[in-house]
Amino acid sequence: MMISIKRTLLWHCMLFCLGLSLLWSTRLLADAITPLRPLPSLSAARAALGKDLFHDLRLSADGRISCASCHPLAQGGSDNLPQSTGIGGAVGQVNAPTVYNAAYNCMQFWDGRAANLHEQAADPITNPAKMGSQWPALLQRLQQDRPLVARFQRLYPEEGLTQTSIIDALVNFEFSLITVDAPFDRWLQGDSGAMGTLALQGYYKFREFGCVSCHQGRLVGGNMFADMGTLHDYFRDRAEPPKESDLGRYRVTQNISDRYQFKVPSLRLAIKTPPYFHDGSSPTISDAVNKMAYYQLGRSLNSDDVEALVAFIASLQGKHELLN
Amino acid sequence: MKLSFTRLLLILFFLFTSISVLYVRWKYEEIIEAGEHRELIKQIYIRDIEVDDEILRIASLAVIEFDTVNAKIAALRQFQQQLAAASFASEAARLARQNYLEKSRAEVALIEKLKTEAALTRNSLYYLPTLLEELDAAVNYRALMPIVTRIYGYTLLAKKVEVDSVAVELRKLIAELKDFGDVNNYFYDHLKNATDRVIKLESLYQQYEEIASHNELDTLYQLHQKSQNAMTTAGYYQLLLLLPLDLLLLFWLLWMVQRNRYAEQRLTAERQHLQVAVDVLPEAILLFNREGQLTVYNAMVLRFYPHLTPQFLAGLPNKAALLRQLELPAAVTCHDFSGKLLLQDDSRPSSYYHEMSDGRTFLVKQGESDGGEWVILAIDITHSRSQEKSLYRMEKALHQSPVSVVITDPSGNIEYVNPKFEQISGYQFSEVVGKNPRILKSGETSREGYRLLWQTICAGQAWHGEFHNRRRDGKLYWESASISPVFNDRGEITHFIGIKEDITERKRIESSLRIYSTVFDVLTEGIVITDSMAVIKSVNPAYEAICGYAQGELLGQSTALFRTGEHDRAFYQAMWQSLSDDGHWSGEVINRRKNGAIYPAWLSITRINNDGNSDFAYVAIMTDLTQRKEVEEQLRYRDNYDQITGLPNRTLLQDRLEHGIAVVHREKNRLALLFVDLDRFKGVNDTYGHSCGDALLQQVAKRLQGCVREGDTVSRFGSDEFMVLLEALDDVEDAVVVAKKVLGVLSQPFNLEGNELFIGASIGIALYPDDAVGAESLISNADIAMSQAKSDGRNRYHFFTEEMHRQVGRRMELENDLRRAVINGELELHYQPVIHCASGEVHGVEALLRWNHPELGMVPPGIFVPLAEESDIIGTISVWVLQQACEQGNLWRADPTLPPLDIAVNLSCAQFEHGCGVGMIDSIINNSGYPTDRLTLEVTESLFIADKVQGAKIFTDLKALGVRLSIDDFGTGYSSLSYLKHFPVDVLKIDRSFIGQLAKGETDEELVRAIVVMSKSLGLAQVAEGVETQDQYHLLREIGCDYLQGYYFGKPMSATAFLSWLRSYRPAR
Repeated sequence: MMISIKRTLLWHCMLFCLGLSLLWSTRLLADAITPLRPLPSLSAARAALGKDLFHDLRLSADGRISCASCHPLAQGGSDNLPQSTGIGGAVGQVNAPTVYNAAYNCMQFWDGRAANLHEQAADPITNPAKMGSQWPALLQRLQQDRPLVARFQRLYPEEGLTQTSIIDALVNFEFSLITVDAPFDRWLQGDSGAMGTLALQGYYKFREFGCVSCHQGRLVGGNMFADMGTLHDYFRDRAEPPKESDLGRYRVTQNISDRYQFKVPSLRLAIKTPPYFHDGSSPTISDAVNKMAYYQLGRSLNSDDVEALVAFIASLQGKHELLN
Repeated sequence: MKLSFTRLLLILFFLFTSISVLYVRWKYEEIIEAGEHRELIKQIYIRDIEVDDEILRIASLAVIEFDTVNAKIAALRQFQQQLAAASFASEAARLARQNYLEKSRAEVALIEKLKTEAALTRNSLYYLPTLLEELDAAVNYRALMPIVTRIYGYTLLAKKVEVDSVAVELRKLIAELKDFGDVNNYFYDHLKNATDRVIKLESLYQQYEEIASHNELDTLYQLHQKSQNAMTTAGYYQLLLLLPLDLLLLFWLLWMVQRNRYAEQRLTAERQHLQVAVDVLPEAILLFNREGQLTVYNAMVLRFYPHLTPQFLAGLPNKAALLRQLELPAAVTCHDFSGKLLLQDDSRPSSYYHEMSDGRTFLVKQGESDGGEWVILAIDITHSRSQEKSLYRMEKALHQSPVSVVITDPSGNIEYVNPKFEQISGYQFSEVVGKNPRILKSGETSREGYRLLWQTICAGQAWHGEFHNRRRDGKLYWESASISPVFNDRGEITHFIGIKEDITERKRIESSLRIYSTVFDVLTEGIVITDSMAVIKSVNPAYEAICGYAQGELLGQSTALFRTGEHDRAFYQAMWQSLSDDGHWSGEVINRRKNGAIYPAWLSITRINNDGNSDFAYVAIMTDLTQRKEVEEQLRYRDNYDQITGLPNRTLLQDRLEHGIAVVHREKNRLALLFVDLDRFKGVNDTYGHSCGDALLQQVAKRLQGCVREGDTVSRFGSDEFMVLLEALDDVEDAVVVAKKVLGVLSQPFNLEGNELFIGASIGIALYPDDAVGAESLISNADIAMSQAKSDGRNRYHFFTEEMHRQVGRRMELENDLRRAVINGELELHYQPVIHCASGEVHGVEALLRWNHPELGMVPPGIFVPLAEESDIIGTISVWVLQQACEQGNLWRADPTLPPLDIAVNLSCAQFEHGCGVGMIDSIINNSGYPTDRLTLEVTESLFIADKVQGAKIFTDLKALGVRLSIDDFGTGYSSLSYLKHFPVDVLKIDRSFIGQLAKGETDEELVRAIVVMSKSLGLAQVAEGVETQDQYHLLREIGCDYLQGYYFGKPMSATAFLSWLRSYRPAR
């Protein structure tokens, strides 16, 4: 009896505290995730040009791969390989993230080494393990294509075909890759029938278990860094010994406290883009959910929870004309 | 010098002012820029505060998503980039900016950490209640509760002082909690995590606050403000210094300008005085200063040299330029006194002439003053020069005169002769000077003449006359002379002047002209002389006689006066062309006399050129051909026409026949030659005499001419033989019509000198190209045919070809028979069944006309229907057919054992014009009482092809009766289905020619199929005609044709036969 009273008392106290905290924040939990909306004022012509460049094999040194090789748009903007293969069979260090919605990431790459897409887009083109091009040679290759040059001349009258304009066209295209109208977004906007019971249940668990602390905002992630293994040591448990790419944010800041920190990835297209994590070590979404629960939340999940969470993650996937 | 100094001053002033303005502007821009920087710093400050605020919320765990903070950082970063790019004057400000940016970067790095920690803290805090619920062991409650409460409290209130104590407390409690199973472990983990993170969060936030980048921003702002103030102050003092300097300069400048103006005014006044002085001079004056620049000139300069403009002079040009303009070669020619031309580059003597292009002459003097000033003076000497010139000219005139001039003293002694005199007379001046002109005397001129001469001239009058003189070489010559006295001022005769002209040649021409004139007058050919514009200048009497006009009426007239319109433009064009090319033309023309009569003439025109002069004349010689023509015409008539009757004779007939044959070949028609032989002419001639015979022939000719059309030829061929040539014959019948007419008129009595005579004629008809290959054979064949007619018994005609003869005869007979047939009831209607294709049932009948000729038996409709259509019988027959069909239809309707039958009746296109139009059809149907909806009227395509408008009206009117309309023999005409849709047609009868080929060749099947499909689409029913075999039937059924008709089902039968056929008919399956 005594216990139950105390328990009730405790609960009241806690609810009061929580309520106070929520009121103070003046925002309700449901708003931790916001609907995804297309980016305004894009240049359609430049985006179209960027789209062609995105699929242009000439951007790579050996003329065999394009941006789309590792980011096939129909498959979700990622090649579903643990690590992608660059020119001459070079294997990348980390898992290729999706290009969809990348424009909304607060920083680019797993380690956030690029502040925006303009900084990011140049990297894979010249990265020897990716497309391995040299800008002068690349420009020379493209200069042969008269119609393309004319197109640049028209869309970039002041500079024409240059490194900057190529990057800008690609970025313009990437700005157009926003997936909208996800079932969850519709639910957020008041369409109560947009989400299935299971997915909704998944969402409540997503909040309850604390996933939402990191996976929030319109991308459900993508706007902060977090330790890979907050409550348990991920790299100690992993079969493969840690390598340089596992250092994460440290490689950028050289700050020891940033070691093993990675950008929290967006879950918007997670259902489409296995394998998971920066090392691509988790082959399935349920495996990833389980691992995340263990390493980040410090708990294990039963299969019902996993099923519900996966259903929720699936409901985050929006639509885009290039996405199959 | 003073002026240029003023100019220098002016430049200096502007330079100084520009520098001042530029300086002020630069200062202003700096101030503006500084203002912009201040605004930027303010903006950054605001963003920075916003970020700080958001970070505080994050550190307080009040933020649940990081998009907001990211957006704010992005905005801040954008302004920071602007700040980084901005230029700051002071080093201190730049340093402050760098400090700020560095600190801000550190802040942003911390923010990332804060975000991570906050998220992970929230993670554990969210999860703690769930874990607590899962914890079932009550044991730990007491221990756990305060911790959890403290943690929440701590996160809520976040007092720094508590941090350490809470941490210690928590750690202690957490240590006790170890090893309480799985959930406990989780709880422990999260509790520990939350605690650690909260502490870490707090410390991170403190670090963040310590960085306090906005302090640097403050510093930057203040530094910037300070330097800006300093700058403004400095600018102010500099301006203060510049302004008086500027003012000083301005005043100086104004003073200098004023001084200059006084000096200039004085100078102008002086110059005006000088100007007044020179302006009254009659000479043109140009004064140049030592620099060679024009200083003074007067108005005469412009009068003398109008090609100089006032503007040019007002510009005060220098001497060289002015002279160049003054002595423009186009306006002025320069001569020195010796008359030598001075070119523009030649040096000028002190005096020389200007010859103006307008004839004026100026004496130009130029000279330099002691002071080095230069003056140019021009004096107009035109008048004196012109007098000199005129004397000179007169001498020249005398010298070069084309007439000889002799000047004598009052007593007649020669003082002067000109070269012409020398040339004409052969005497040199030296030989005749001082002598009397008598030396030229030939003795031909009378003494009296000379006396009169002297009398006249001594009386002070001029004498004109002719001399017949002798040259030095003894040759005689004619001279026309004009001798006048020359008086001095006192009226005394000082000289005589004789002007003489050699007129020997003129005299010779005059005499020959007189001869020509006589020839001109007596010639019988008309002669007209016109100028180049064909205006008559002269005509001779013969021409007057020919054309009937008097000379006075003709002169000045154009030759167009005689035109008759007989000749076309081309004729005259050719004539003028020939005249201009060859200078000659001759040919026959038809002209008009004054009395309007037209006459032919032979005209020969020659163009006479006046010795290379562009002026020329035409001489036309005209011979009147009227008489010759009349003779020719008579001859021609005699050759071609019969003397007695005036009809074309054999020769002309042959011509016409040849021509007609050629036309036949071209027009592809035929002609007929009727050989008319008078039957009893010989007797008339013998009995009443030849004159009476001739009169008869004349009457016959007249009657014959009355039987033919205008273009046809009636000709007398022999004594009592006539030929009638009928051209452009459409139908052989027409020849018969003419033949009958001829027989008719010739069998009428002739009245000759009170006697009534009867003759007759026999006619032979030959056709071309049917009966002959040429004119000759046609005539002889017509002759043969005529003999046949004669032997057949007179007063009749006969065709050359037996077959033709028979045919024509039969046709005429048949036509008569057909008229009778309607009355005699020889016509019958037969009925051919029409079968409904799909069911095989009898749908109706088509009524078909048959003629049962009493002698010939059944006459096919193909023979007699066209015959009826060509005459008016078709009307009667059509009425009968429709009446009959309606009656029969009524009979069948009355028989209840019979199925309902449609009757189709054929209409003829011709019947509408021959009494069986729509009105008649309507009344027939109404009278019979036969229902119109069971009646189909069939017409052929020709009805609406011939006249679409009329055809369409008939169609519409018929349709209005309520009957069905059917197009018969579809496909044989020219109409297309698309054309048909413009007419209210219901049924299409596909011509038997298509059906006959059906099941034999593919093409027709496709064609029929197409017709069926398309007509269905137009809503037309189809009847296939001429179905004869089962194959055709099946095929048509397959094609989907609506109705069938043909021998396969039943041929046309009499009403009785049809009835028995109908009773025995069983539809085929």
